[in-house]
Amino acid sequence: MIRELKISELSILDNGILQKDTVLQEFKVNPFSHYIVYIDNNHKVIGYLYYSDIYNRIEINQFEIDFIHRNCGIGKKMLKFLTDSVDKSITLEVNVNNKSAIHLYKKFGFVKVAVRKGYYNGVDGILMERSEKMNDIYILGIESSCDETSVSIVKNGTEEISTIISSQIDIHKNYGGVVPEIASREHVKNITFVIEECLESANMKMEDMDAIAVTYGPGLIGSLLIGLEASKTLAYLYQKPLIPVHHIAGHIYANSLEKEMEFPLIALVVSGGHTELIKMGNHFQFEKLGGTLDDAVGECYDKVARVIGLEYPGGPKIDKLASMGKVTYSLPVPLKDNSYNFSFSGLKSAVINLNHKLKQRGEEIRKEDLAASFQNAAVNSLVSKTKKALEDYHVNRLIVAGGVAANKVLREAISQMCEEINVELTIPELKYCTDNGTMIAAAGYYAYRLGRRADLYLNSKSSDTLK
Amino acid sequence: MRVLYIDTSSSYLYTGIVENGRIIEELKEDFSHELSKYALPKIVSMFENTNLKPSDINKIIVVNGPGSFTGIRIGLTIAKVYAWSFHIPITTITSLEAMACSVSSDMVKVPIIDARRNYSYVAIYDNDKVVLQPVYLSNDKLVDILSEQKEYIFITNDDILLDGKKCSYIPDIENIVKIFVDKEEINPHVVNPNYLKLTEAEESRL
Repeated sequence: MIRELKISELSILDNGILQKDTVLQEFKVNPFSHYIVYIDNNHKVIGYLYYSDIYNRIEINQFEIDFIHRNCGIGKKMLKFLTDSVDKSITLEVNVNNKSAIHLYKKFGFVKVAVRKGYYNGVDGILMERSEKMNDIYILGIESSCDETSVSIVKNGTEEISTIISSQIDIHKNYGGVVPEIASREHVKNITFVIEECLESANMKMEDMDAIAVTYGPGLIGSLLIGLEASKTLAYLYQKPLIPVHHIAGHIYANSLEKEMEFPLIALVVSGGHTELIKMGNHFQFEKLGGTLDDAVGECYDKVARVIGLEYPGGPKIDKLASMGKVTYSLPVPLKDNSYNFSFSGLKSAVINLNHKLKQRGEEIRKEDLAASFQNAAVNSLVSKTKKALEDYHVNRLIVAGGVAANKVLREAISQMCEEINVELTIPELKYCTDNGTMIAAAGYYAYRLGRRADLYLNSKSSDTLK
Repeated sequence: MRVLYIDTSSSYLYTGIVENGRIIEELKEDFSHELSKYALPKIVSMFENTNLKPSDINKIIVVNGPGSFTGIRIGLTIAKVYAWSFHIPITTITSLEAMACSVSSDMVKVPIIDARRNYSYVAIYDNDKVVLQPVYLSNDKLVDILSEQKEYIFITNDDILLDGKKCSYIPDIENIVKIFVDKEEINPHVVNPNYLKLTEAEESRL
């Protein structure tokens, strides 16, 4: 496995080809220094690439592979790790007699710019440079955290090449909700079909991919496992880097398919399992400002829908019904406090109680109005807390993410609020709001650029903090 | 001819590589709840130990159940993605067949897995004759069927509360592969688990 060496983990250097003292010394005297290391299965360092990241350029200082491991493609993988994670020009010196190294550098787009006479103990050195132009990077994204098996190919984190989604919604609606064991059974039936169809519709092969990104969690554990095992197997068979992606990071990065993300920003994540306000200072730097104390907003929609007698999934149906009704019933706006937290179980109970009371009295329940009144309270809560976060943190960019971002009333109310306080708003296209492999591949691209990798021991997690 | 065998239908990973009828590498280890973490890297380490590449495999035999639902899916997903990727012929066998092939006895063989609530996954084999195909069956019915059999032996690693001779199950991967190596290959897309049992949600709708 290849990764950037952290100063906190120098103990892995024991028994390898790189000396701990040398590294410590370099870190001390060269503030620009970085080490990329190749670690074998026995946790031994068998290759390293020492470079300096100096403002607008990268300089490779040393690049060495253990003698017995040469000519196995390790150097190529390490150079790819570097060139795919930086977008600056790269320079290096190489001994004029080291033909195989020069050949490798040329393959990566390095060109000869000068000769340094007698640089290596009397032997000439060649100065080579690679311009800052990046290679195109294709990521295969695999998502199976709930009831959709989805695989996508995304180019450079922003351009969708192909996406296949196999939805199980018609099966689960017979049960009024997602049945985890049925979901897992469907994923295993679908997985190779979906991967194949995605590659075919992109007219690409697995060999063309630069890395495989997979949702490792959170979600239904049995469902997650199918995408995870498939991704690990593909990563091993095709020798591709494996990128672990948190499902919520995926929802957030669905926005990078709309426009390149700029920071700082605040993300409102709203789905069947999540309601969170997150501040991002840069790519993959998440700070949770607040979240729901009980039900997620999407979960609340589904439960209220059931009370009104709407079929699963109820969220979109409430949205539709509400558009035909008026806000006539008085319902409490949840958790009006100074925090960035939400609470939806009280609102849900209020709807259930109101429904019950009206029924007992024999009064007619105007479902459209009840839906409109409920939605008004829920959206009000989301909008007011989001506004407070934007103002308190002086952030003028907002992105909305997750399945509930497809909700029309929420989209309207949020864009109106953003206009009022002059905040730039991005909401993903409807098709990117629900679970899909596209968002996992997009998030995977930025994680890949940051050097994030998992080894084949990666496991699924039903819950995990966003990171 | 090199065959890769994978069985994750319990909490154990049973895997091996059989080359021209001889086992050259195998692993039988209990990973409890972490099978999903270890299954693939442990299979990879078999390749490393034998200096083989994944493309050196000519056939995959994977156990498709019955047993732990989650467990079955782990090995089966690895196997079907592998076979699909590298166009490797693949076939499936049941865990009960694997159990029967791992014990040599002249008695009637009854491989059995506890399915809880007084039910079992079970099959009955009298030498080459299949007396009972793998099935999800109540233990009461099983007792009725067994009462008509000659001397029989349970093959199991579970605490089965049934009277009779019992022996534990340690897979004889070389023998299992020998018996099923020529079994007809299946399109990897339709290599699927054989749970023998509906989900509870489906059962309650019946």
